[in-house]
Amino acid sequence: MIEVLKEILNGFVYFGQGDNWKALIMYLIGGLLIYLAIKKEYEPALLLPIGFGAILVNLPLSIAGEPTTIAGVLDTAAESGFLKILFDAGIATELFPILIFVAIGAMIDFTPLFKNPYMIFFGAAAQFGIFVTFFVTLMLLPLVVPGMDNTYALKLASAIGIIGAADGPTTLFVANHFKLAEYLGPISVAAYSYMSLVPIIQPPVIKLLTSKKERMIRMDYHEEPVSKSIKVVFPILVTIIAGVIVPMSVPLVGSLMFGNLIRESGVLENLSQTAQHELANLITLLLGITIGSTMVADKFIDPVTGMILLLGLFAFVFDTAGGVIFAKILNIFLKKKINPMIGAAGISAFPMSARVIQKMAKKEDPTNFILMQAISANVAGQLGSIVAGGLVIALIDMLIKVG
Amino acid sequence: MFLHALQSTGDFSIQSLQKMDLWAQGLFVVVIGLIGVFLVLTLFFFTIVIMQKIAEAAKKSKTVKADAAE
Repeated sequence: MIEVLKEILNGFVYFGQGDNWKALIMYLIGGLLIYLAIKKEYEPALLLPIGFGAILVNLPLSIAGEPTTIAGVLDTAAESGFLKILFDAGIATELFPILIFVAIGAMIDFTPLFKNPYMIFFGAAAQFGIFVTFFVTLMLLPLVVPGMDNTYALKLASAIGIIGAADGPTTLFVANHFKLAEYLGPISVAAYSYMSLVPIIQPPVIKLLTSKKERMIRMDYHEEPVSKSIKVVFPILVTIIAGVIVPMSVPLVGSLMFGNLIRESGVLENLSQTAQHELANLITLLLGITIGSTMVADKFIDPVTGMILLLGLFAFVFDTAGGVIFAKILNIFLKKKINPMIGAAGISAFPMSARVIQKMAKKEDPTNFILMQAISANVAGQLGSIVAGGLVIALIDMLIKVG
Repeated sequence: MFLHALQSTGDFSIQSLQKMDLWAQGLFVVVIGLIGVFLVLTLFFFTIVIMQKIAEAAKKSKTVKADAAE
C-alpha cells in the first residue's frame, strides 16, 4: 500500500528535490505565454504551442524508476519522446524554419517593392539593431558569464543579435546553426513575443526620433502595373545573386523565393494555396510545440535568459531607430522628402510594422496614406533580415574556424 | 579600429582576424555585416531597375511593331 502511495505521490516529491521547484516557475511562464496568446492575441499560433510545450517538457515523469522530464529534449529522457523526435527531425536539421520560409514566400507580394524599388534600402538600414545588439551582447557576455569561451560568446551574441531581424525562422536558423539548443527556447520566445509586440515597441521609438511635421510628410505613390515576367524572374535572380555573394543565406533565400515563384508562376495555384495555408499552419504548430520543449527549467531559468529577453527588446528598438535615422539622413539630400516613419517598417515583421506606420500617419493626418510605401519597406525588410542572417553566419563561421 | 587591430597583427588573413581581441572581432562583424547587407540589397535594387527597363523596352518595341503593322 505504502509502495503504491509512494508511486502516486512521486510526482509531488519531484518538486521538492534539488532545483526541481524551477519546474513550477516554468508552468507559470508557459501559462503566461498561453494567456498572452489567447487573451491578448499576441502571435497566438506560436505562443500557445510554445507555452504548452514549456509546461509539457517540465512535467515530472518516472521513466525506469528515475524521475526525469517527459519527452526531454536535452538528453534527460531515458528514451526519445515525441518532442525529441520532432526536435531532431525539424529543428536540429533546420527543416522547420526552411519550410516556413516556403510558406512565407508564397504569401509575399513584391509588387509594392517593384513600384518603389528605392525602398529596398530601408530593408538594409533597419538591420542596424542586429549588429548593434550583437556587439553590445559580445561586450556584456564576459561580465554576465565570467569565463565564457570567446567562440561560444561570438555564437551566442550573433543568435541574440539576430532576434532584431524580427524574423522568427531566421532567428531559429541562426541559433540552430551555432548549435545553441539550450538557448533556443528563450531566443525563440524573445523573437516571437517582440514580433507580436511591434505595435507597442515601435510607436514610442518613432515618436522620440521624429517631429509631428515629419510624421505628416506625404509621399507619392504611382499605381503602375508590374509585368508578370518581372514577378517571375525576380525570385530566380535574387536566389542566384544571394547564392553567389552570401552562400550561407541560400537555404533561407532559396526557400523564400521558391515559395514566391510558386505564387507568381500563375500555374501552381493549388500549391501556392497549400503553401500559404496548410504548410504554414502545420509547420507553425509543430515548430511552436518543439520550441516549447526546449524550455527545460534548469536551462531556461538562467541569467543568460534574462539577458536574451532584454537584449532582444534592445535589438527591436535599435532596428526601428536605424530605419528612422536612415530616412532622416536621406531627407537631408532629397528634394522630395520621405516620411521618416517609413524607415521603421524596414524590419521583417510583415505586415504588422507597415500597418503600425500607417496608423501613426493617419493619427497625425487622417488623409495621409503611406501604407503602400510602408509595405514596400516591410517587404524589403524580409529580404534584408535573411541576408543579414546569412552574413552573420558566414562572418562568425570565418572567425571561429580553426586556422 | 578593427583595422588598427588587424594592422598590428601584420596581415589581413583570416588567421589574423581570428587572433584579434573579442571586441575587434565584434566590430569587424558589425562593419562588414552592415556593408554586406547594403551591398546585397543594392544589387537587388539594380536587379529590379534593370528588369523594369527591359520590360519597358520590350513593351515599347511591341507597341511600335503593332503600330507599323497597322
